[in-house]
Amino acid sequence: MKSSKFRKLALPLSFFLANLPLFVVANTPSEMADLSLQELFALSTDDMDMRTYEPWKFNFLYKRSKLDGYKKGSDNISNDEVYFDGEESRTDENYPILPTVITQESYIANVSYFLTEEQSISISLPYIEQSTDHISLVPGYDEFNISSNGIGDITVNFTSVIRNWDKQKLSLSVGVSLPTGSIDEKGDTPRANGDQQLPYTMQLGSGTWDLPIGLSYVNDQKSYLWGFNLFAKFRTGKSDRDYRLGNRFAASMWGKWQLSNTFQPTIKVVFQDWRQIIGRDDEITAPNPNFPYPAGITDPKNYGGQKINLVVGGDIQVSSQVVSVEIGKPVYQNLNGVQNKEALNFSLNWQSNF
Amino acid sequence: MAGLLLHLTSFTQWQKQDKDQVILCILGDDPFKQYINDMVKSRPKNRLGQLIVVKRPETMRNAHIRTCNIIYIDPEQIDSLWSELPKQHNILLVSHDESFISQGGMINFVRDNNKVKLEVNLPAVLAANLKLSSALLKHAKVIPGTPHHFTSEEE
Repeated sequence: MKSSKFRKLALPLSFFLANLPLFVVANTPSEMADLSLQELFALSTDDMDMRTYEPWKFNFLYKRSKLDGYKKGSDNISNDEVYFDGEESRTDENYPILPTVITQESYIANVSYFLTEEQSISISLPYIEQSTDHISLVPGYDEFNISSNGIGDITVNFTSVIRNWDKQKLSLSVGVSLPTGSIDEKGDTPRANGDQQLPYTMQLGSGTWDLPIGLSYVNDQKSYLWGFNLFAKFRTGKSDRDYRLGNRFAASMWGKWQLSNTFQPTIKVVFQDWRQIIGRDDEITAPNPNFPYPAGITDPKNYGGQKINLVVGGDIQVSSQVVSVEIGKPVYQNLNGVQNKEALNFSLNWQSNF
Repeated sequence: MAGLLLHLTSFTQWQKQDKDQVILCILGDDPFKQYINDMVKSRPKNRLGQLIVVKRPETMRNAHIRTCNIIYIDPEQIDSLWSELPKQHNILLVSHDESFISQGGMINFVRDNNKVKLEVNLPAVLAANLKLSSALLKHAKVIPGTPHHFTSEEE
């Protein structure tokens, strides 16, 4: 009895299922290649758009850099030489407050939308955490730590391939960096009781509208790739605190070996040049006309310089997900004035196309 | 269209055929570009297990096109194809031009009600000693066309 009822239902059900319109999704060449003939005929011409790229790309980048020790020009100098302990004479190059170790961490979420295969717009949202260990001459502040964290400067970029040869590609990127990062971060420093305005290094943004521009060249030889990047960030105007960070320039050259489909080791040499701060935040100076800067990082002249970093790393690729790891170490640093030197930097990038 | 074009390699039987591979030639302006390469990279073999080889001959000279099993021809280049194609051949000719079938083309992609459909010129297919699967033909509109008539100059 049951079997007869089932048979009565099965016939109209199978007819209904057979005549259901096919809802087929094929967003990529790979998905399109998997479709049956019937599914292909069910596609609308709009669905047959022969797009070879994913329209959205998401990046999450974690960067960490550690500054430890000091340099004057390209020479290493000890913390003792920079620290004014009250015994020797005070000069423009020693300070009663000494940052010893500066740690900077950035968590940058970046979303790109490809208008065409060769043109994209992207937005980067950084979250920054900074921490500085100090020693000082001020009683009660012999050793202390100051930290700041929050949203940094949001950047919007437009990138376009300007030349595409057989195995080579040249891209130009122009953008604008919005002054969304705070330049009013405060903390408990030895200058006074309670919280005071923190030095430039502890602020989360530049305070100015900045214009990043980049040129990137890629040469793909299948078994290996190489390329170079040129980058500049031009600052405009002055912040509300009457200063402007220095312009930044960078040039890098890199190589990547296609060891396998899933792992590609990379090597990179990065040259960076950045300029001194123009203007001054008077709130972080001391009321001493001869020595207004209580710490080296409060003196605008102690900013800027050149450095060359050697970076090694690798890409791990699984399907449309790529994880890149890089570790960089400076092989040359020539810093203006007296500055904390970079010891090591590390970055982890996760990229996903969708 | 790229997907349908690749499916033709599975639903066509050639008289003289390499059992391991099918050569698909794209002649003239290429509407598929990297897309079809990516499809073949993702699925290198057709449903019959034959390797799909996509070629883009630089010229339409006989020497370049005689190794093709399927030719997809840019509508702007159809006239040139007739002048280069040997009278006897075993190549499936595909394009998307409303006059392609009437000129002797074999399979034409047409847009109908926002869908891509196939028009098939069966006499031209048979004249080239080709066979199309009934599974393909049941989705196609069979047009009563004729094989291409070569002028004496072309012959």
